[in-house]
Amino acid sequence: MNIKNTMITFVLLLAMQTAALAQGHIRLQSVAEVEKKVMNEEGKIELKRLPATKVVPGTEVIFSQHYENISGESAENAVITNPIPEHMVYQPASAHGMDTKITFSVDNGKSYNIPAKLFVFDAAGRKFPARPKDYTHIRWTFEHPLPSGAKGTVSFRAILE
Amino acid sequence: MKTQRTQKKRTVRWLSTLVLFGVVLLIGFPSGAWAIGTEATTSIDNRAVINYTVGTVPQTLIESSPGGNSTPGATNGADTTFVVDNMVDLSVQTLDAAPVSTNVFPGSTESVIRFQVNNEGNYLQDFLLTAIEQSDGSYTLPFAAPDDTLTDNFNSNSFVRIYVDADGPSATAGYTPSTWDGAGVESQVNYIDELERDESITVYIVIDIPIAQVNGDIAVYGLSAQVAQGGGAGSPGAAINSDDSGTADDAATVQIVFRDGIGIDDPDQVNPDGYHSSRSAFRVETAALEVTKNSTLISDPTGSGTPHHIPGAVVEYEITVDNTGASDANDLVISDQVQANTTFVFNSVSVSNNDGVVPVVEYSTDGGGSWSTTQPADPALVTNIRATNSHVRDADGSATLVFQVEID
Repeated sequence: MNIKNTMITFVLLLAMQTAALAQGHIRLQSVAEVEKKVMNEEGKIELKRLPATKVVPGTEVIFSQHYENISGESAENAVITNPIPEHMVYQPASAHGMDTKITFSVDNGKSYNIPAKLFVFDAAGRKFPARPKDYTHIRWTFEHPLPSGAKGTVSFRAILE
Repeated sequence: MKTQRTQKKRTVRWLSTLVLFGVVLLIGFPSGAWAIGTEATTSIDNRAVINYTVGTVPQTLIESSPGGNSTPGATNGADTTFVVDNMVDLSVQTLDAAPVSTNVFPGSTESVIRFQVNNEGNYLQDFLLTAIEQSDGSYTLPFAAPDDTLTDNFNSNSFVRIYVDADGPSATAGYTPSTWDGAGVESQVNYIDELERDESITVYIVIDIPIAQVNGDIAVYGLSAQVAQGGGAGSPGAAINSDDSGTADDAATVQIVFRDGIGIDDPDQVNPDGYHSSRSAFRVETAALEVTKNSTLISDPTGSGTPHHIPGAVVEYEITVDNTGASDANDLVISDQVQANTTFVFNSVSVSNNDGVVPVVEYSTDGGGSWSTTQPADPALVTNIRATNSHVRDADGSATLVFQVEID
């Protein structure tokens, strides 16, 4: 094996290692959609989800996170965190996720809790129950490990201000 | 008794708490009103993150991407993004509460009706303005009855001008309508330049009133505004004639969505069309005068109880002017001449005015060429008599001139 070949093998090995490092266990895809009423083949109006494109103030957008465990190992203690985009107001009770505990943050992600236990303070220091408008982050905490191949979706709806 | 009172007090307290709570709710949650919309072109970015462990080892977080990301690391994901589209929404409303009659009289110039144009969309726009001159006929107006339906019966006898208030726009919330400052002060243009979202501005339609119009005449005018592209200060942008509902979705470009209401004179009376319109009216207000002349035979030389028109008989003329119009008649002159073959009777003039005005009586001896307040010593010289009233009041004003002649 000459030096040149050794070099190539080394570079190849390095590249492979980098590739292996680059691959995590979970693939996370974020999608923004709107619901539109469309006429189906039977002539009935049904709601169809389309990519969020024509979005004007007042439009409700559905943000979905599709997750999939693409590794051979089980992922434990999985938590998906989604900061609510600027100008979007969370729609009450719209967050969904199978086998997850859903909590919200009103302090920019520092702490999370269920809606009934979230509070905000006004300039005078008075305490008020937080409104959906105050939510800054949503968190889905999985109650069970995600085994290899497990996939699903967590989602929430928000309205453009 | 005491228990009852306590109970009552409690109920009242409970009720007031309920009312207070209701008010807080109202203030705290203005539902459905998106008065301040997110500005078009704003990018809405979303990126989620997943944390997990394998075995007991915490793994590097993985961020989301539009197509799916599995590369760990805080910067290896990508935002799922869309841009806020241009919601076109405008409204035009008249600022007049009733047909305008201030400075609306026969021959008046710069008679003004007012409108407010509001940019209720989410982007800076221009607005192209058109004055709609309604032809004769019956029109619905946004006024209280009985002015909610008016019959148009005349048009301006000059070019119809549109002026945009020189004070400029201000925020729609709490907008204070401006007042007409006169031609040369306001800008005579047919468009509103660069009106920001949630801003309003006052627009004037200015006409001249033909001299032939009479009290109560109505001219209905509408103002139509069409949304145009903003962004080029100093000149009108291109009209936005259609929205992008028919074009392919594109998350990356700002598309146009019409959300405007249906104005009374909009081209499309069913769907949002980027136009809005409103109407107002001019109502001519002037004096409406009626002149009556009566003659009464007072006596004849025979002294009969039933006098006849014979030489030497005295006839009294009474000229009455009634004003039933909406304006005072100013500098009103009642004038008459002494007919041929009759002679003015000395000291026979009397005048009246039901608004306390003292009419000025004058005599002419040269057929009305010159006048004097002094009665000529020889009544035979009097050829004309007149009474000048500084005004005859509106609605029920009345002025009279009475004089007597003797048949030659």
